[in-house]
Formats: sequence, C-alpha cells, structure tokens
Amino acid sequence: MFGAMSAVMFGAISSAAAQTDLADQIAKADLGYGEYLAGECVTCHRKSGAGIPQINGIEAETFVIIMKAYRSKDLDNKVMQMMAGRLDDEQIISLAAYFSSLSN
Amino acid sequence: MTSISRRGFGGLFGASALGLAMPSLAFGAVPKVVVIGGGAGGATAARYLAKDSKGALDVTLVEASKRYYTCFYSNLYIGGFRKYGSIGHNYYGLAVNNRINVVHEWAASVDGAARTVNLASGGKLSYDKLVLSPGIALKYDSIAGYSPQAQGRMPHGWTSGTQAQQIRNQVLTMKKGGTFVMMPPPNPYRCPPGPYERVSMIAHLLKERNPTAKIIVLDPKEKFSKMGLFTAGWEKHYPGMIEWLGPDSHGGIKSVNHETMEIVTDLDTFKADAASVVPAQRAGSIAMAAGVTDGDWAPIIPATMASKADPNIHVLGDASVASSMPKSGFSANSQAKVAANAIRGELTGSRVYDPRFANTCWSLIATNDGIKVGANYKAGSEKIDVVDKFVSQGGESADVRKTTYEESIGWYNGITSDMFS
Ligand SMILES: Cc1cc2nc3c(=O)[nH]c(=O)nc-3n(C[C@H](O)[C@H](O)[C@H](O)COP(=O)(O)OP(=O)(O)OC[C@H]3O[C@@H](n4cnc5c(N)ncnc54)[C@H](O)[C@@H]3O)c2cc1C
Ligand code: HEC
Repeated sequence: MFGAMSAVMFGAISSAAAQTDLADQIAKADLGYGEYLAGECVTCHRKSGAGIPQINGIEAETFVIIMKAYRSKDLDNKVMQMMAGRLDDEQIISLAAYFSSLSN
Repeated sequence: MTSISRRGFGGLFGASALGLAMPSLAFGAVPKVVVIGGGAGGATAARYLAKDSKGALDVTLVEASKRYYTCFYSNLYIGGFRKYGSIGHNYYGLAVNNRINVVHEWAASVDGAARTVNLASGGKLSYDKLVLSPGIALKYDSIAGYSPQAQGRMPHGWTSGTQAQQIRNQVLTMKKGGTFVMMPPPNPYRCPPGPYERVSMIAHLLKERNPTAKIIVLDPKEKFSKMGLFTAGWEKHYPGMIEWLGPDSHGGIKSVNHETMEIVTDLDTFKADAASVVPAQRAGSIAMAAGVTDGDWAPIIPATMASKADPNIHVLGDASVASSMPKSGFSANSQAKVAANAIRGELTGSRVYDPRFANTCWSLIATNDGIKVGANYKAGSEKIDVVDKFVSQGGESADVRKTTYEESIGWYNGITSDMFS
C-alpha cells in the first residue's frame, strides 16, 4: 500500500505553484465543515487501536493526496474508495484542515 | 437566527421563527433534548448533541440498562472470537465526559402535545425535541408456539444481553452429532447478514468441538444478504455441516415447540437438540406509544430524521423507516449525526450542513475470513437514496479476507468509542 501511496504522491505534486495553491486553500478551509464531515470518518477511525489506521494529525497536504488517490481508485480499499468517492475537492480540503489540526 | 451554510441546507428548516415557538427558547432557557434509548443511534445522538453544542443544549438520555451489550460482535462472542465482557459498555463517558444527564429508567409513554416523557417509575421529563432510538421489539406471535417463555430454550439473541450467552452455552453442551436449528426472521429485520454470520460462528464452534454435528437453517425467505458469499464460505470451511432450506424446500414454517424442541413446517417436522429462533420484528414499543409509527415502523423525513407524524420527535436506527439503509448499528450511528446536526440547528441556530449517510456491515465466516457490504446514501425528499455501494467478491485472496476481518475490529473500536467515549 505504501508503495502505491508514494507513487501517487509523487505524481500529484506536479508543480510548486499547485502546492502553494493547495496550502492556501487549506489555510482558508472551513474547520467547522471539516468537523461535521469528520463525523462520517470517526465511526471507523479512532485515535488508536488495531485494524484501521488512525488519521488524526496527518499533515494536511498529504491527507489531500491520499484522499484523492482513494477517490480516483489509485489506492485500493473498497470502503475508502466509496467514502472518498463522493467528496468534492472543497470537502477533502476541509477534512484535511480538520484532521491535521488534531493531535495524534 | 439560524445561519445558512453555504451549501444552502439551513433554509429547509424555516430557521428561527420555528425556534421561537419552542417554550423554553422563548424565555431564554437552555433548550432541552431528551433521547430515549442509549444504543447505536441514541448514544451517538446524545453524545453529538452534547459535545457539539458545548452547553447550549440540556441533554438527557433515558436508557433502561446500565450496561449495553452490543448485538454487533455478539456472533463473534458465540464463535469464541470475543469475550462476553468485551462487548459490554457503560454510560460513564456520556455522563462524565459529555455532561449528559443519564437516567437509567424505562420510558413508558410520550405526550407529544405537552412535550413530556413519562417514566415507568412515575417521573416526568419535558423536552423541546425528543429523539427516539429504542431499537426493535420482537413479534413473538409471528411464530405459533414462540413466546418469551419459549426463548429460554430457543433463544433469539436478537436484542442485547444474556440471550447470546444462552446460545453459546447450548452449542457447547449439545450432544455429539446433534442438530442445531437456526430460524432467521422474515424481512425487514435488524442486521440482514446477522443470522448467517451466526450460522457461520456456530459452525466454527462445532467444527472445533463437535464436528459430526449438523446445522439446519429453516429460512422464511427465498434469499438473503451476501448469500453467495456465505454459501461459498460454508462449503469451503464447513463442508457437509450446514443445510440451508428456504420456503421452496420446507413449504413454510408452521410452529415451534420449545418443550419437545420440534419445529413443524409444511413439508416436514424437524427435531432440534438446540435452536435459535428469531421472530419478526417491529419498532420498540415507545415509538408505538409516542404515536409515530405507521404499521410496524416509524416513517421519517430523510434530511432530518424527524418523524412524519410529529416534527418535534426524531426517530433513529432500527425503529425508523430508512428505506434503502439496512437496520444496522452503523446506519443508526450515521443517522444520529444527521439528526443531531438538524436539531442543534433548529434549537441553537448552529449551521446545518448537507445530510449524508453511510453503512458498512462486516461478517465473519471463519477465522480470518471476513466479508463486507456497504453503501453511502443521500437524503431524497421522500426516501434515503443510495449514492454508491460495494460488496466483497467471491474468490478474493486469503489476504484480502483477513484484512477485511481486521477492518471490522477497527470499526468495532471506532463505533463504540464514537457512541460512549
Ligand atoms: C446478531 C446481531 C449482529 C449484528 N451485527 C451488526 C454488525 O456487525 N454491524 C452493525 O452495524 N449492526 C449489527 N447489528 C445490528 C445493530 O445491533 C442494530 O441495528 C443497532 O443496535 C440499532 O441501534 P438502535 O439505536 O436502533 O437500537 P439499540 O442499539 O437496540 O438501542 C436501543 C436501546 O434503547 C433502550 N430502550 C428501548 N426502549 C426503551 C424505553 N422505553 N426506555 C428506556 N430505554 C429503552 C434499550 O435498552 C436499548 O439499549 C447486529 C444485530 C444482531 C442482532
Ligand atoms: C467503514 C470504515 C471507514 C470509514 C467510514 C472511513 N474510513 Fe478511512 N480507512 C478505512 C480503512 C479500512 C483504511 C485502510 C485502507 C487501506 O489499507 O488502504 C482507511 C484509510 C484511510 C486513510 C489513509 C491512512 C493511512 O495512514 O494510510 C485516510 C487518510 C482515511 N482513511 C481518511 C478517511 C476519511 C477522511 C474518512 C471520512 C470521510 C474515512 N476515512 C472514513 C476505513 C474507513
């Protein structure tokens, strides 16, 4: 999985400009919306424990890349493909801003 | 004034004009929400209402039991994959961490006009909004001969508690080479794959301890959830042990007798050494008493989970008519968050976001052989509609099946901490 992920990450950050743009969007994201959307995630993802990775504190830009990779099915997990599948970019960014603000 | 999220959803609720009609709001008091039922739907709703309103709502949870034993994973307990204690949870986190007023009593009736709940003990609670998540009640009379008296020897194990222990004990003490009869319920019922996961877990136990024993499944339905995956799993792990018979084969179930342990169908009489009989189901009785049911279940408005009969009562989980969403703990937890968001918006003016629902049901067939089915949903105007769905495939690798099982452990820890922490 991590092999797939680093390949995905390598391809996703194509230019410095795109990166700044994303950082900017994350800074402006609606944390309240992120927290609301996160309600869907914490049924499975909790702070610690086996079986499903904990996602609090993942760095926001990495978070966005991972979520987009599930959405495009470049990362392989049926549940996560479905969960990411209906999130638009703005929603993913709000989630990234929210989860990255939590301590892991 | 209720602020309208940029997704434009807040507009649906008519905002503050409605809010001011609430008696406690008119006097500037903290609005009161009473939640009946501290299970998958109710515990989640109470927790999100209290946590997210940060003191702006007065939340009371009425739950009869002091300890909630999850039905989810009760089959894994029967199979020996979990200790009984590990599926029990208390209300300490809700009371202490979330400052919810937890009342361990039985709610007897609801007066919708006066907005009060009457407790069986004689106490009374008033509310601005009421959330009902009472789960199911069993329709004992749906099977001739079945009754609360019969459930000692023919346990249903379909509501939380000691029934699961009885089933495990019956399997462990069954005579060598004996017959276990499983009778799944007719649709609709809580946890569509549940009866077949139970069959798998009993087979697992028998394979270890009583390998010449047999399991007969007398199903009132022609087909069932994840049927192909289960039957393939049974052939692989428990060849020759499980015989599934639908109405085509048994002709229809006529009656059960817990004294003779006989189950009579149209075409045959089956003698069981041990049995689990799950009758038909309906919404928990407080939903009936509150007058929000139409037939056996409570119809709701998808975007808010508010009852179609009373706008101040929201119905969650198994008791509600959630159309394409199955009656599961995951569904109830998901619906609770939608309702909590809508209720907070109405009572405190907080932002109301687009409602979204999801469900995944995992089942364990044998050691490290897990399967899953899931979907996400949106609120249509009349029904909760499917957006996207998936299901495990036949012939998946052992690795995928093991990961799927491990995910279910993560989910169990996730949902129970989302309900109770
Ligand atoms: C064998 C089995 C396996 C299952 N496996 C899964 C699974 O793997 N995944 C999954 O998602 N779901 C599973 N489920 C389904 C899941 O247990 C239910 O769908 C879920 O519990 C429904 O939540 P609820 O809030 O509607 O009701 P419940 O969780 O049943 O909660 C209702 C609560 O209300 C209380 N109550 C009721 N009436 C009153 C009253 N008048 N006064 C006070 N208290 C009251 C009850 O004591 C109870 O605690 C399974 C079910 C079974 C039977
Ligand atoms: C039904 C359970 C479930 C739900 C709900 C869920 N996830 Fe996941 N998530 C998983 C599983 C299982 C994995 C591991 C998948 C894999 O191995 O690729 C995962 C992996 C992830 C990862 C990668 C973590 C890592 O360290 O590799 C992220 C990020 C993530 N999920 C975010 C989310 C977000 C955001 C949501 C809510 C919108 C969400 N998940 C909802 C089950 C779930």
